[in-house]
Amino acid sequence: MRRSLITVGGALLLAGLSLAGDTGGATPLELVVCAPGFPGTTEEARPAMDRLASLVADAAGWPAGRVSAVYEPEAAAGRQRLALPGHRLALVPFSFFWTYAEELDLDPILQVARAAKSDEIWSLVARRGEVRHPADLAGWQVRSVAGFSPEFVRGPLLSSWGSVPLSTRIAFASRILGALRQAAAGEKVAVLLDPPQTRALDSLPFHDDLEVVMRSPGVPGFLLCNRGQDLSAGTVDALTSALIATHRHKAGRAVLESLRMARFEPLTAPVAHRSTAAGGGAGKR
Amino acid sequence: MQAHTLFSTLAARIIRHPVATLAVCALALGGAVSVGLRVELHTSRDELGPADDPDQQRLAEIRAEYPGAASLIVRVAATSPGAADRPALRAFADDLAAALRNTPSVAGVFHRVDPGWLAENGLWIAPTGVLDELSALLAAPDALLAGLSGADGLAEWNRRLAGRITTGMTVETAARDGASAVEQGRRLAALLAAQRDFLDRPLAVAARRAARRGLAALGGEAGLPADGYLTSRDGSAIYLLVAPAGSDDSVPARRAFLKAVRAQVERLQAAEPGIAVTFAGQPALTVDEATAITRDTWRAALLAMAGVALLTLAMFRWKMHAVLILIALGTGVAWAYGAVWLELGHLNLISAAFLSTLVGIGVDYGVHPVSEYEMEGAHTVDGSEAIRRAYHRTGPAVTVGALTTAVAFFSLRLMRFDGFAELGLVAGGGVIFCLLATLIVLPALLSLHGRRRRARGTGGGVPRALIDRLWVDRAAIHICRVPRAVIAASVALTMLLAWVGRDVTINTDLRAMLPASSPTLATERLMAAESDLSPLVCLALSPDLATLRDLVRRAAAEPTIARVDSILPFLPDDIDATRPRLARLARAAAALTWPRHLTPVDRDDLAGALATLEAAVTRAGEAAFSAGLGPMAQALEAARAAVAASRRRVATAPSTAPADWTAGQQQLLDSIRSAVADIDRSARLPPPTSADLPDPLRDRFVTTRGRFIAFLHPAGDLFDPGFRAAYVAAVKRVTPQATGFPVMFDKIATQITAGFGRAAGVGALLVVGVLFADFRRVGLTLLALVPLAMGLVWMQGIMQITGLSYNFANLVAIPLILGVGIDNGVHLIHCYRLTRSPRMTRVIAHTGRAILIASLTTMVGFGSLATASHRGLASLGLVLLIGVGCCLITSIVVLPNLLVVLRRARR
Repeated sequence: MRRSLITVGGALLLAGLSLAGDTGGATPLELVVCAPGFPGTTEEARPAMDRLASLVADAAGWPAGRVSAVYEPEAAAGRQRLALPGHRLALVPFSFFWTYAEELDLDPILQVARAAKSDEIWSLVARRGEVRHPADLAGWQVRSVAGFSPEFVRGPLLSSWGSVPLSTRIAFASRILGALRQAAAGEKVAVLLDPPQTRALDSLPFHDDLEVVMRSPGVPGFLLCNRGQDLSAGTVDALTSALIATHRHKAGRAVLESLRMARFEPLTAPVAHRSTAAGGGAGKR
Repeated sequence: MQAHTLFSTLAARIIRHPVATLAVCALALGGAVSVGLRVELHTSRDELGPADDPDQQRLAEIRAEYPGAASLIVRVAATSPGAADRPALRAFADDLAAALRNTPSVAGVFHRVDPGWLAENGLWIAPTGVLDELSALLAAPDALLAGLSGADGLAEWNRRLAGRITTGMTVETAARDGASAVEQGRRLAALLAAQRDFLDRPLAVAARRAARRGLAALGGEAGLPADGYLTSRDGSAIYLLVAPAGSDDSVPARRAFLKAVRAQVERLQAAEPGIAVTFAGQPALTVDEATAITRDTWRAALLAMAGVALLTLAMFRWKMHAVLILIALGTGVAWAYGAVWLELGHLNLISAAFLSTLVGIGVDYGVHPVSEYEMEGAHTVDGSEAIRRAYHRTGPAVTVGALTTAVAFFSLRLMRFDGFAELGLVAGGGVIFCLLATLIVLPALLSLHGRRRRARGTGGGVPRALIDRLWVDRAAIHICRVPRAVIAASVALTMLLAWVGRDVTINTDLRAMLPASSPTLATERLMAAESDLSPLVCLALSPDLATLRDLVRRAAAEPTIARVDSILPFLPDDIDATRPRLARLARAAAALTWPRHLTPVDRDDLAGALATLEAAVTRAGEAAFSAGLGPMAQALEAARAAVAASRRRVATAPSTAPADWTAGQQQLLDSIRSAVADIDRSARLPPPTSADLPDPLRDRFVTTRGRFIAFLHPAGDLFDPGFRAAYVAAVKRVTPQATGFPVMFDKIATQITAGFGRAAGVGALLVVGVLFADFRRVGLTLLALVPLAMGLVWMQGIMQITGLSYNFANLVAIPLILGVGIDNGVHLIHCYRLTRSPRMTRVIAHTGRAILIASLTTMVGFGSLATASHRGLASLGLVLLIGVGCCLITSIVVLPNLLVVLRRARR
């Protein structure tokens, strides 16, 4: 215990010293969290965002109030917010990053693990016996929280399965349970679920009518990005070191758990996005 | 040859003084009958086991102070779906219980826990978990009931609920609270399902709620029977446990008890024709079995008499000879019966079978000399000489056969199980008396009968019976035509059947012996399927509650014990833990405020409120699902489905529905208010003690000496020997003092199965010893055993092929088959040695004829039992038919051919 406290304390001190250069003045830093389709509104998420901002500020050794966090439940609003001038960090799902990384000049510095494994596998669910091959989806609708980016769905998530017909409509859906109910009832709807949704699938009263027809390759979950390289490399290094250590102490772990995050992790490989990926496929390269 | 001379000399002396001989025998008969009349028939099953067994003694002790140990189970249900509703069933059960309590042969009735008592004491006896739930419902900051108690109508109630879901059932709270949040979600789903039911049938649902009190009204009746009644799981049947007065478990006592109960049932049924009443439990089974056995025995006896009469016509040249054999046999049996008084003074349920066993075996002893007598020409020649010769030829064999059979029976004394041990004694003694009657009474009767016929000039020529024409004249000369082929075929068949029959087991399932159509059996099957009640349980007495609690705790750790019924669920488990919870509840109940009058339900207003609620539940469900909170999403999905159904109902209900909803909501409010008042009141009462329990509860769980009884229910089938052994071992681990039917039955089953093997082994050795003493040669001894040994192997193979197994009823057949099989072998070998003929024709014609008559008589007499509805009796008849039939074939076909083959081989 004593060793872990010393480690955390050391990390925080180091992060504080490093960040002092960038934030020596009163320049505020805004953490924009954009998770399209996730539960809650900007207002409802405010307490959680405040906790997240405190976590980052503590990790950086900044005074309270220097860092703020805001939640944007829609992709468009998130894009707008991240396009505004000022120092910004972005905490976004991989689907958002993959789609808008180039446009918003997002530079990934950490990934967020929501479970034991940091890579996430998405599942395509349809009424039992209805879908065997991508071609079976002709004329169907595929709904998902990642549906705001049809290219992402067709690319990194589904391309390993095969080519999804052009007549298949990819649509954004925040009411996934309702979509699953429609699928179970026999409508031409398939639903692409992220890992937490997939985990909850078996609990549904109508899950016997559904089946997982495809599982995606592993892709990153959430990414913490430096927008426009607002923070210097040294500051980023210190911040990442401090954030990676947060789950090792009780207070940090509690904040992460309240955000349903397990830990921050270093990137082990460069993360691909729309412009760098040749036709999608692997999430990292 | 000395033995043969001895028997012919004895016969000659008797023939010289037949009247004096018969007079002496008649005197002995009179004495035997006079003492025999004092023999008691003990029909108690308890007396079958060893009286000094500690478990048996404990069971007797329990029965002495607790009549409910052998309760009759009465099942009350509708004759057909809809023929009687549940209130009618309950009223019938209450009336029946009241009537039975006033019946002298009934010690007590248990069928429900008084709901008033439950309402008053339910809080004290409810598990603390239920009290905590109730607290959550009433007193927690986010208490559902408290939050909704101010609503002035159904629509407002739904709107408030929607608000509470939006603010209280977020992903954050669900993730933070874990299982308790899920439980809250499930409660919400149950609440909304109840609302859906209410909107469907408002007045019926409100009336049902109003009928409940206290805890039950708020759904906190976990662990207590619904409305206090002892019911099937779906509530469609009510059970009454009726304890007989007195501990006498004999058939007449049980029959009288059941008759008294039936009389009350029939009286009440006359007024309620839609209600069916059936019985289960040991008293019903005992009476059911006794009734079936009595009915079957009479039917089988009539069939046997008709069959034996026909056989007599076909077998005996002089029909009167059959009567004389029966008179001699009757005399022997009567002597044997008198001897029972000297030996034991009583017969039990099993040893009572000795009479029929004696008739089956004893008739053989008379058949052999009489058949030989007929073959000698009987009274058409010098009658006295014919009798003397007949006894000269058959006397030693009859005697050796009888002695070996008696020895086989006496070996049953080695069994610890009194039922069979006593049978061994009285049947072994009986065989000796039948032998004496054959050697003394029968020659005197034959002599007198012969003299009378000659005196009346009716001697005439020798008539020919059917058996003479078919067997003596035709078959006998063909039996040994191809001896080697017959022996080879017999050996092959024996090996085949030995292999086939190697797995015949003893089926210890008593239910498999009862008639398949037994109503008691049907009720017990139904009971096992629809309820947690078991008619067969182990019992244990505890002197105090601490010991009882310890017993229940240890039983909970045993997987073979399904549950323990005792007084404990009706007494506070932990007063110190319950008291502060009750105080908190009382405060919360007092703090609740309720509107005096509710706003009438407006359809559009309610539809709007339900739409708001559905949106809130849907949103909460979506959020939970997206966050991966499966169980919460599941509960909220069920809640959403219930609200959606309610919305459809409100949209489509007839125009009169709002008025019913208005009336129903007022009734619901009243019942909830009354339930909360009940809780408030009972929370202030002192904790109940065992002395405060209602009488039916005390009668059920407390003995007359104030000890506490526990019923340890098995978790499996007691008639599966493996499970039974594990269950009994578990029960004994819980408390070595436990006893009851399962313990005793396990012990008895082991005693019978193991004891029978031991008795059979010792019996076989003794039989071989007697035969060796007779023949003085190992070869002849073994040859005499061939018909029996081979016959038993064949029987076992055929039993396996026909799906028969041994059971406690047909085991009685084994000594009888042994007796018949030994007799056959002994007679054939004796005759073979006496005639010294190289051909077997005379042996087959003379001794074979007698064996045919004796065996067929036994087969017809006992085979009639195969038609019995009692499956135990039917299997007894079948096993006898097969066993005696096999021994017959091995005696008159296989053994003569074997003798021929051996003789040729010696040359």
